[in-house]
Amino acid sequence: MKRTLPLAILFITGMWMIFSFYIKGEAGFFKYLDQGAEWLKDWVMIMGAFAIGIGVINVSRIHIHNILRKRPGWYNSVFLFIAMFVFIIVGFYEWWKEGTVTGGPIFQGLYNYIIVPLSATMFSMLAFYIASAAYRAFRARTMEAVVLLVAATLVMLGRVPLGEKIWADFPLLTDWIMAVPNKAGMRGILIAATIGVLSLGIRTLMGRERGVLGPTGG
Amino acid sequence: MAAEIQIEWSRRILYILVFAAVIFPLVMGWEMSMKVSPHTKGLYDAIEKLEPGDVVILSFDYDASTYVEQFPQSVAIWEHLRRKDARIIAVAFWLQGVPWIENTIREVYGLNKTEPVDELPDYGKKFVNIGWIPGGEVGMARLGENVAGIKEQDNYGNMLKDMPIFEGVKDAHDVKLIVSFSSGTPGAEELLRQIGVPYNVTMGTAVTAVSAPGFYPYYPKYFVGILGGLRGAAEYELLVERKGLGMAGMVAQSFVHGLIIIFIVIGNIQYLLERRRQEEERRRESGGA
Repeated sequence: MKRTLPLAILFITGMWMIFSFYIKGEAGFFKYLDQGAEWLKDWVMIMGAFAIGIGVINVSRIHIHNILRKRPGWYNSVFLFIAMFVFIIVGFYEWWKEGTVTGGPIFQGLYNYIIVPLSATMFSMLAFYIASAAYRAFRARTMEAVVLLVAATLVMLGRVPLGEKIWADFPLLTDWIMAVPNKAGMRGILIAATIGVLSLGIRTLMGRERGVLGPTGG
Repeated sequence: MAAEIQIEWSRRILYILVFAAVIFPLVMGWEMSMKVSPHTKGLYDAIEKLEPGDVVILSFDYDASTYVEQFPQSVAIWEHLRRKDARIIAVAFWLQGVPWIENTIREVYGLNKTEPVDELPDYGKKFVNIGWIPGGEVGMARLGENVAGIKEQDNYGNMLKDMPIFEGVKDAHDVKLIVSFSSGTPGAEELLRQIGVPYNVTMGTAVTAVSAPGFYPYYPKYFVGILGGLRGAAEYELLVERKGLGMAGMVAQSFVHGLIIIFIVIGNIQYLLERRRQEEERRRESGGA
């Protein structure tokens, strides 16, 4: 029962959603089928919103343990709490005072002058690592590596105005690489991945894939 | 030990050169001309074809980590839609997408931080900020089924049902175009699956440079245009004749790309010389034996 009931619910709701996607009805059974599917989707959205709250509780639980047991790097958990609760308090204050969270001046200041520069800095460091990796690791060791090297160099040059200064038709060459060999390869990957997802969906609906039931598989 | 010191120093020099290649063009304000790719032009043409009052959904599905590429894209496209007098419905399926709707509106309409967005004369008539829609792909499906009723209130607590922008808008059949500013999941592919294809709505997307190659198979049938990274933003700014962060960043990107290519060439020359030296040593050893 512990395994059968969740699998039955999974099968019924899954089939329900599939039917409601393909068959639309204005009256009778199909109308109720459609309406029910809409309710189910609304529930998912509500649960999605509540998941944020559960996330806060879960993160707090883990980091309270870190602080209480003085685990290595416990002070990082303290900073996490400061940042999290400052944003939560500011959010509630802005909502109460301005009627909006993201539109309030304090929230905008915190977001645009703390979160944005920090995130951009983390992402920007990639430029330094890529430059260093390109110098040390991007070597023409094999024929495949040579093809990759040449394609990467042409695309890199064609994607910036500097490439056009060197040769006016560089962007055309880059567009051809992106639109023909790249597109062909990506299309193959996409079709294969979609078939994989389809087969996973059928296996899950049939109860053969038990990952959705949790770590013990029901 | 000597080799380790050499690697450490070469890395430091590389970092200084990359830093200089980024900073100098930005500080000096240099500019470079560029051609517009057909992928960018495709989206521009789709927006050009819109009639005044046509409904467009803009989906802001990115966060601060990719704003350098995607914020200029958002500003340029919003500006174009504003000039075309389209009705813009802004949504976010990413929680952190909401501040970027806010920032885009403030940039396009020239507002400072204390001026309320919902007090602009066009608000509720020509554009609306619905805010975050939870549920990921399921939320997208619900938006397609019920555009005006997806939420009761906008991002500022105003009732959506009272807004003239939703006049004659029931579901996604009444939407002319969707543009997804996407940097992950849920994003452009999910919107295409849940709204674009089922409701036969024209779609375009603006993505990061690193994810753009993955969207090429959808062009031009499913996405009429694709803006790839900062280059896409710069090309769009060129088309709408509005200088912004995209064009400003392209010269810096040019210099960094050029520098990386020089590093690759130097690295490979060193590698080939080293390989030749090792081969000669091996030949000498085998000849001596």
